[in-house]
Amino acid sequence: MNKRDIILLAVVIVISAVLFVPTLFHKSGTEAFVYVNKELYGRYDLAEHKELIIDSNGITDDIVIGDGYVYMKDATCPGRQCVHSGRISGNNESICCAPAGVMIVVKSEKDSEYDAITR
Amino acid sequence: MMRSPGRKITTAAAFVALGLIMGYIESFIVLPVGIPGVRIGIANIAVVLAMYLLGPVYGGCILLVRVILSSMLFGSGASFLYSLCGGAFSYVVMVLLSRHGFSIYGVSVAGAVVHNIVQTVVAYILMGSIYVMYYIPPLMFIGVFAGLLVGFVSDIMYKRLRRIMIFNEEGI
Repeated sequence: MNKRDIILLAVVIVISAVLFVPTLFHKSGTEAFVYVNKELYGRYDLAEHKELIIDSNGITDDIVIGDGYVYMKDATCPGRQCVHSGRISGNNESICCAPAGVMIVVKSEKDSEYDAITR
Repeated sequence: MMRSPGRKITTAAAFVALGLIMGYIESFIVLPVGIPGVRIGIANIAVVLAMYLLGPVYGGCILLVRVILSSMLFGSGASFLYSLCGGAFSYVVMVLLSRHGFSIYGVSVAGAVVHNIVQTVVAYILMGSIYVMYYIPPLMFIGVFAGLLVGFVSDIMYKRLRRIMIFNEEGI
């Protein structure tokens, strides 16, 4: 390790910390937006219990919504990284199952109204 | 270092095999991020070593062959695109840094970080959702430590392999 390496390490850590700080102040979201292959599949209130089974690209995703959270309960994709993502609740947090093309984004009510206008 | 092209090619093949095995072992270690191919980068050890021992051209070919083979053996069409983009960009950055006074540690950290960022950008393009970008800060942070680990192992292996390879050249 030389001086340049240490500068590089410091720069990367500082940049990631600076980018990370705003995500700590996320309000909790109220709605889950589920997208399948870039199309809006549906929007669901995080307070209501619901289980979605989505078949896409030959992969089955089992999404559970409720108690202010949304998580991927099970998926038949290789690696199952979406299942390992855990449950999310914060505004703008997301779970992505890339092989299936499934994307779950949590939004707060204010933001989702804004979103409905822009999309 | 190694002048015989035959020996260089067979050594390159050994590095491809090493990278494939490392990649396979690595596929059991899943990081909790929903982007395919975001890994610690153990397989990158083979590429870093090849780059230093055999030169950037051989290193690049080894990377390409490893990505194609591992996608055919263990992956899917989507994972090929992710690994190829991540691998190619990180390799270019690694070659540039290694020529500008960075040690094997700095080179592998930069490789890991760029690899993770590029894969997130590919996920953004394929998924069409800007929200995957929220993964970038934690991924950069993970990349630093993953890169240090790769650099540490590569450093030890490089010092030993360099000696063995010189010995072979003179001894046989």
